[in-house]
Amino acid sequence: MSPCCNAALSKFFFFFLFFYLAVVAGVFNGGALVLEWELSEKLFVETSFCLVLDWISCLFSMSVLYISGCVCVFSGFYLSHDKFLEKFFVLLKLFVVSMVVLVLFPSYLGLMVGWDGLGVISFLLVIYYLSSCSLSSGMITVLSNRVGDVCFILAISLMSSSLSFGMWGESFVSGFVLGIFLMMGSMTKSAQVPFSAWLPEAMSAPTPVSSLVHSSTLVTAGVYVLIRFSAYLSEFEMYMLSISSMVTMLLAGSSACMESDLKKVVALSTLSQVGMMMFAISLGANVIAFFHLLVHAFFKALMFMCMGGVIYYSGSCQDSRFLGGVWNKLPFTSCLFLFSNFSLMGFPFFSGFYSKELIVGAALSLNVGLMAVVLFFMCLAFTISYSFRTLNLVMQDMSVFSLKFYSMENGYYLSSLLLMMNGAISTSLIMQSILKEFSTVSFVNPSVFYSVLLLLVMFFFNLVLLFNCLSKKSFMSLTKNFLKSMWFLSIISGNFISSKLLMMISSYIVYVEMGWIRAFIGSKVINSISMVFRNKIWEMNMNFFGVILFVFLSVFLILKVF
Amino acid sequence: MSCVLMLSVSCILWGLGMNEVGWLIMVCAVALLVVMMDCPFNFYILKSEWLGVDEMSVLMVLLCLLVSMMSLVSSTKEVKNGFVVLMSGWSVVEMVMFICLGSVLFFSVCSWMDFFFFFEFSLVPTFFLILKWGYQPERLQAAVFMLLYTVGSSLPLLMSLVYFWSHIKSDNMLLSKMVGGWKDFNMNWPWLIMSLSFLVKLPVYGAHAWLPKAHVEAPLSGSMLLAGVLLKFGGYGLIRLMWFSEVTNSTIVLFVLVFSLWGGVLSSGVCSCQSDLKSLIAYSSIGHMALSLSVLLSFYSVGKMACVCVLYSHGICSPILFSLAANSYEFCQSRSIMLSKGISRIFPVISGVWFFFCILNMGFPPSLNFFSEVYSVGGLLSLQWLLGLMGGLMCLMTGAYCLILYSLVNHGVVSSMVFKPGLNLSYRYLVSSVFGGVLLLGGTLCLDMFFV
Repeated sequence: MSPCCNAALSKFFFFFLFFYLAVVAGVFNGGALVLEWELSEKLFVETSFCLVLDWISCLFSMSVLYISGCVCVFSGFYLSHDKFLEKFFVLLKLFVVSMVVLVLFPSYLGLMVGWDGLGVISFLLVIYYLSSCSLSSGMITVLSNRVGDVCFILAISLMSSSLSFGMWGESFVSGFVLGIFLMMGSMTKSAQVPFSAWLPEAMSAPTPVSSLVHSSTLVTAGVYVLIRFSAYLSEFEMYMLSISSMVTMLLAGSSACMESDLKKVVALSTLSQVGMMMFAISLGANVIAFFHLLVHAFFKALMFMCMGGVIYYSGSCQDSRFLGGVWNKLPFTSCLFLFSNFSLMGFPFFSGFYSKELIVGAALSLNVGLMAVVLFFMCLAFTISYSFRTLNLVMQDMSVFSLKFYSMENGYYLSSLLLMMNGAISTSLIMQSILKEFSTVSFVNPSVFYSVLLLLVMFFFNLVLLFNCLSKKSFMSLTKNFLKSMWFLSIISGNFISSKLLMMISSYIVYVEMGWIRAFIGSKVINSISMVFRNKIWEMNMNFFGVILFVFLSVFLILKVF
Repeated sequence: MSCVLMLSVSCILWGLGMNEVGWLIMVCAVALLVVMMDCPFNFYILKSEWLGVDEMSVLMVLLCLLVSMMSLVSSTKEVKNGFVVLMSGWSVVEMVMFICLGSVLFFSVCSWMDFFFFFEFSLVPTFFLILKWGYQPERLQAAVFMLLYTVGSSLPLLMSLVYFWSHIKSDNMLLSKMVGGWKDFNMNWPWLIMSLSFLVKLPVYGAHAWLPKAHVEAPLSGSMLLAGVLLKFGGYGLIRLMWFSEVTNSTIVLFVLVFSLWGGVLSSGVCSCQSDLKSLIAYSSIGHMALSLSVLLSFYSVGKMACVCVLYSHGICSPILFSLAANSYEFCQSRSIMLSKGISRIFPVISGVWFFFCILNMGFPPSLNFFSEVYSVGGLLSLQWLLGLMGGLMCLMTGAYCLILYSLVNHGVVSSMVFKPGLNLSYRYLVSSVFGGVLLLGGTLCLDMFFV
């Protein structure tokens, strides 16, 4: 399987390159490298591509390259019998290149290269299995991303009237509109409300794609841009961002409790974690959000890989109603899945605990209102509940299971899991001990925190019991439909908008385009003008007096002109 | 001088039978043209009594030569057709060369009357090209429409140019600008009537009915030249008119701006629902030209730069899309989207090239299309916030139809019409697409050359 080894080795080579730059060349000790390439001198604003290598970009590119190397090894297992495997690896390489370009070039013009590239290549990756449902998922993915592109293009246009496109500017010309465009663009990429419908739909992609794209890189691109350009956000945008991220967390948490497709549950958990990162940014805690971004990338990629193994061995069955009993059949996989879920929940001293604890500390000690705190705790409770639900569905031995043929003897699978194993457990500890920026102190009384959390979990438990005891069928089915389709967002964003718009355009074409413009102006008016002219000219030509008049008039005109 | 010598030596060598000299010829020709681009910014130099040079005209001449080269390379079907060769008369190579000659002279002359002459001259070979090498019987009506629209709307232009001549007492463009142009007049409605010809050629949205018809009925080289060169006549003419006759911004100009911008949005929307591949690309041409027109009419200097950039990048990207559509016509024998599908499974490289040019059409950074789009929207946003939002909406719909175009041709099960893959597929299409792609991507590195 040599293309797989080639692809993975190239990623690991670049990982070690960045590692060298970071540790040996002193970037982590506070140095930075800036290279600027000036494109045009004719405009007042400096159009340049500016490469910045500081500790943020080095660390992010290192983690992106490491995860993509492991994903390459994993796809050597998952897609081993696929005909177009070389095409897949080329697409993955292009995707990683776009992501690294996005990370390394924090000026708006250079960033757009990576941003647009991410959107478009993720479209190709989502429609990799050439079927009609993957096409519809791909279209909604790329069109949501395109809305973000348009917001960024408008932001660039606003920035053209200031001095530079970089991340260190101040928006002294345009007020808070620039921040709105920036925020809306990041919100579409990171799938916040109201643009959340594309992320669960994009699970039509192969699992390696989901593991790289939809957990670590694509959705975190919006968060990264907001972290870099946070100087442009003003009070109003911070409010909007906090509201939107909290609604996203609630949406994702409540929908994940009802979803039966396992990959979609993991996608919704990604959505809620990205909402948490956005929430941290809206509080102003940028470094904490970045820490959570990195830690989440590792354990979520591991979760997707374990899920991919389960799906592969059960014959591409993603529906949790047919799965069960994985604990006995794939013990290593289910063990790692358990650990990554504990990390997701923020179980003490796993990897996710450190970053989540910092976010909770920031949420409790910075100035947000009471409602925000309550909603935040509700999201934490939701995370715990859907994680336990997933673990139960996958691992408990029901009598119906589709996992018939199971053997963990594939070398690629085992080596990719082994490489990513650290991610669920010790990544954050390693990062905190290397970088001094990540170890902040938060003043949270643990008894307060855990008691409030327990209170809310008990409250929800009572609510669920109440729902089960209700005998009104219509109310239950309405709630189920509401939660299953992501608060009706997936139906509205996809089907409703596109069908209405296309029907409007078709009727416009029939009436205006083909009717007025082509048939009326095109045929009738032009024909009548030309016919009338032609007839009059024929009449005049047959008339001797007309010829003399024409000659006389033309001579007169020429004499007048000169 | 050394470039001319190299060029002539390599042509002689090619005539004597050396086969690989073609690339050398092309490189020399492009190098010659690039060397000629030593005119500084915002200057106009009169090279002789007939020809005047500034950066924009050199850029447009380069575009003409490149597009005619690409169209000759890609039209294998018409050149190799033995039936036509046996009949006496012009061959398609000569027609394309006539159009190219007319266009190159149009972009180089410096007197208003010659400008008008070459404006109308290139219509005649195009008309003949459509009539002789088109495929369907509707081509007569399409060619007549094209002639009628263009010639009919250029009659007021002739009258006003003659009146201009009599007022300024000279025909030269530069001299008329020095003397003052139309500054003494109140150019509200007269401006509209004068530019009507350029607006119809461009085409602005209301008068665009001739373009999809002409594109659908024309052969490949006709479509490539029409999209690549002939639509740029309108933009070039407007820029020259605005520059040399010193018109100022007025209500009518803003009216045309808003009308063309909204028409661009509408035609981009119409693109998403077309069932004919060539018609889809034709409507996308209308959308791009509408964007360039509206930012030009904002009378900003970045507007003129962005307009020229859009004209150039669209002039390279659109002919290549047409050649790809003709490629799919060759193995499906139909232009309908219902029949030419699913080529991603059997022709992966061509599918990759389709994807590349679809996303270039929608403005993928760091290509020239991206910069032209961004600065167009930027110019509009600086004028009025609502116009910028409309420009953004147009970018969104452009992205939508480009991806719809890609997925219509490339996705899904292979269509049952493709029964013998690899039969007529020559790599000429790929060569011309690679050439165009390199130009568009590499244009970023020398952005100053295109921001005229």
